Amino acid sequence: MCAMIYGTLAESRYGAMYANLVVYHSNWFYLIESLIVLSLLLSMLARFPWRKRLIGFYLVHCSLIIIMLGAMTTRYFGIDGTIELSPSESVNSVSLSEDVLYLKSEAEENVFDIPLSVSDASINKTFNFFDGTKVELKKFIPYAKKELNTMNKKDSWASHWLIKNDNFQNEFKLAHPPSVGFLSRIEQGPLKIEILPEFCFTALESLLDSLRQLPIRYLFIDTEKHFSQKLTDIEHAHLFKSPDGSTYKLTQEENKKVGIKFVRFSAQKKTQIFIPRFASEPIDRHLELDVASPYRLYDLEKLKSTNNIFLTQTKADTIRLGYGKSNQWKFEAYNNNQAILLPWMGFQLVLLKHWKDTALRWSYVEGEPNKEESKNIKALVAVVTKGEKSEELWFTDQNQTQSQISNLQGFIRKQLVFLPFQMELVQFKMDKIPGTDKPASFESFVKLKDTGETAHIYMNNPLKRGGYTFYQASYFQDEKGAYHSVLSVNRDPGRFIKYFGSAFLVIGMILTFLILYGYWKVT
Amino acid sequence: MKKIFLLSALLCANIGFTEDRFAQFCLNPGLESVPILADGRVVPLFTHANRIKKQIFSSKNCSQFSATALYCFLSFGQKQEIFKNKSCQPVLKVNHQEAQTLLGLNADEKETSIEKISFSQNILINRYHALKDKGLENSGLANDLAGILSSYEKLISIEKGEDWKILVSENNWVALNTFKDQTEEKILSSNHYLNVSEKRNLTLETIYEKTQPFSWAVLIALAGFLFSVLSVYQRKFYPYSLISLSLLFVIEIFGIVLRVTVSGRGPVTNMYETVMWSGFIAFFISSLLGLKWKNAKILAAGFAGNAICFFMMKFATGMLDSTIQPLVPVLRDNFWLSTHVTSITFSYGCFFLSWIVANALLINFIFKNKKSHFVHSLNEWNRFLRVAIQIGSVFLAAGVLLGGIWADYSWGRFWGWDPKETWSLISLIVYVMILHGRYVGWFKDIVFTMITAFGFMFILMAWFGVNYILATGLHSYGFSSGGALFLAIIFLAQLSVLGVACILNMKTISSAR
Repeated sequence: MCAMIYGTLAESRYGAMYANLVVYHSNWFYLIESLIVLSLLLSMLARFPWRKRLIGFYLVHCSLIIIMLGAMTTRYFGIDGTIELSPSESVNSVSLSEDVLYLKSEAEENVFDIPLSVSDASINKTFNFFDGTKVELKKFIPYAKKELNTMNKKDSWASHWLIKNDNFQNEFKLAHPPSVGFLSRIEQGPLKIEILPEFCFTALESLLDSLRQLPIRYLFIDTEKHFSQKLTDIEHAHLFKSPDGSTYKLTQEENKKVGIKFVRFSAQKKTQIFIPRFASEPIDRHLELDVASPYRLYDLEKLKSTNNIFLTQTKADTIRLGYGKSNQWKFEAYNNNQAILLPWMGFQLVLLKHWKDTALRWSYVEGEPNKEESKNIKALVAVVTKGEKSEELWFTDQNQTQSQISNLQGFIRKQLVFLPFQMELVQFKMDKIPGTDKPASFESFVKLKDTGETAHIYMNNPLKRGGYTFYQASYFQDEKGAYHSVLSVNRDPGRFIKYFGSAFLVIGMILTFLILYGYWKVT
Repeated sequence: MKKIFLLSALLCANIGFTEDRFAQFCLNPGLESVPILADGRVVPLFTHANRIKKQIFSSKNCSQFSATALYCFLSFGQKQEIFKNKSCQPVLKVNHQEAQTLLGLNADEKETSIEKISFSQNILINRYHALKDKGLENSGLANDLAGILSSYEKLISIEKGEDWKILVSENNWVALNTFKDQTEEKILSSNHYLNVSEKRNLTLETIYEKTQPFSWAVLIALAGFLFSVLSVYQRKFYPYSLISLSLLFVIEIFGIVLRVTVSGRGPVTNMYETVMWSGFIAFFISSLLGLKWKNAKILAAGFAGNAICFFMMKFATGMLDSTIQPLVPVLRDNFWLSTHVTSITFSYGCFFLSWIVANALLINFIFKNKKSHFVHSLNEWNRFLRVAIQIGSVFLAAGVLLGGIWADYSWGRFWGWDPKETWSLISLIVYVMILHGRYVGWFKDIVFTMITAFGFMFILMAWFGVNYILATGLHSYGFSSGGALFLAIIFLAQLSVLGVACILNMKTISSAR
């Protein structure tokens, strides 16, 4: 009982998940429950031989044991999770409450169990991917706090900026070279801000300053090798060499189906795709910008039509920035604490902090559990090795982490269970209490893909299907205002055992008192 | 009589034509039962206006106007009509010290004028958001600020004519300020567009609000308590206590039936109603047992319990909200709501009764000179306590299990260690332990009485404490504020009574040896 009181207090302070792990689903709590069952059994055995007069007594105590057994069945053989339905999207994956680490390298995917814990837990698990990437899982932090770490590293720098105008304000950090959690470029509304190595910055500066006179249209940059190449066009194939002897090849190709011209780039057996009219960064297979790539292909015409800010740190440790559009470009040195007035919508740019010869990285330390489950961060640290190189990587449940030395990607998510059928949200309906904004009811119309029938799920009216029961749990709205429905999914083989026990219990209690007060004579 | 006099005085007063027109309209008593849409329900204007008056005007002010008239004047932009009288000004309650400072009030000023709020509205809003960002939206200050701001906004929307929703055709409610003319006629004729059940509910609610059955219940219960205590000494008072008993029974059934009909659901959807229902059950059980055993003392205990509950409902308005409000989605299932919550509050009523009797016994014990003699006469009372606890336990167990089945049915789990669930289980275990202790003879005589009194503390925690102190979990639809202090006082008082009784009991035992 004291344990339960502690549990409710812990819940009000740290949230339901914490209380569950520390109290209700802990081994010692199970032990207490088993002792209760044992004492119930013994209390009945102690009254052997059985007498008819005690029928109520037996019923009550038996029913308690039955209810406990039912609860145990549910715990070990039941499934309790949630399913998130988005408009016109088929899903069949149910998230359970356990966390797993999902890792992917090339085409190989893997899922690792994470121990249930409320404090730091060390894990010692090693896994080798086919592509030679070795992952050693080290430590899991269930309630983590983000912490900014700095490391001395030559030729690396990072800066913390503030951009603001009268009705907007945002801070961001940029790093060169980019690392996990720190990009070298950021988009702030219509503005694109990019931090570049000095040679690259100067190359752009010289070109943009005299853009009208020069026949140069494109600039290719390899930030790793400190190499840049000016190009007049991309219609022809280009082959050039960097001072250290690497060969680069650029050829324009056209995808006839969609009618997009793109540039295929290859260097040291590595191929990447650029669409210079679209972005200076290469594009990966999923048509997303590969911002971690060291290569850039700038279309100077495009720079003229968009709003760009370039930043760099010179050898003399001054910070320079260049900004502008069309032919109006301005390149200047940044003086301490001065706010630069940008030519767009009254935006101002202020440098808050600069780290020189430093690499930034996020690491995680143990934090306080928050009552609101969504505000907690889960983090897991692993050492990733590929060939000679090795790095420490943090995986979280917040966003995907990409390794810098291999193709490894990963994040923490909930354990999934797959239903034998697909479901799709056809319509989400919410009635409001007249004259107010409070929901009176919310209902989901869900299409079951295998039979094609449409089920109507709402509060107090669950859907039963294939041993699973689906309940309307909640809903949320995304940025676009579309409603997503959250159903809780449940399979409970212990249900009838518990109901049976409950009925027994009430009957037993009534019988006990009836016999006790002589309303029912038993001989 | 006073009202009519005022009305005619106002009509005869030398005021302009338009003001006269509004005065006539707003002071018309027929206006009170006009339907209005408020908080998602169709209610008589009288109900809504009364609530607004309580919220925006201090209780002492403006007694010359009825709530309906005040609301009507404000909505029609006839402020000068009210504010002519200096003492009749809107004032909002400010309880928290920091809120007083923010508004520039002195420490002893518990009320603020509207001008001060409109002047420092932004400061209040910023402070509130700062608290919310820190996750302190449930703190005393944040609650106070939110209350002040929402009352202020309510007043503004009333003055703009946005608050008063008029029924212009079936199910079509339009705000007052959308009309240019003929507003008064539209208001008075809006009754016709109600459907039959709405019309019936409107009439019933008007009766409910006008008769105030629960206020009468407090008086009758007090009288009944007095008569039954007197009849212990003077048998001739016994019939009077029986009369009070029947009267109280009739008036409470009347009130509960009205409320249930109007709200269309069991009488247990918020704290106010659970207190009402438990108070009634305490009275009902004590009447049954008291009449069966012809014991006026038991009747007295029932009357006392009933009076306490209904007294709280009448005066602890900060903690118990008497308004009938639409239900949150999960509670919209009449069958489960009626069975699960009703049976749990039924058990609370039984335990409440046992608590009152146990404490009366303890206080008696403390002040009796011959302790050992008193302990001998306890047995009959302890039997009563045991019966009350037994009935309560059966209902609590049934209620907890029904709750499990309902949760399974609508959330998909039988038991989720939600604080409300856990605490009701804790209190069930406490009472089951008390009963077991009694059977095997651990708790005898005055010890049993003391344990019974203490047991109710767990019920209080499950009933109020989870909502006022823990304030978390799935059952959050029932949460309200401001009761933590009340609970702390009861806990302390109970502990001191128990402490004293315990010491005296030790002395008795040692002197007997």
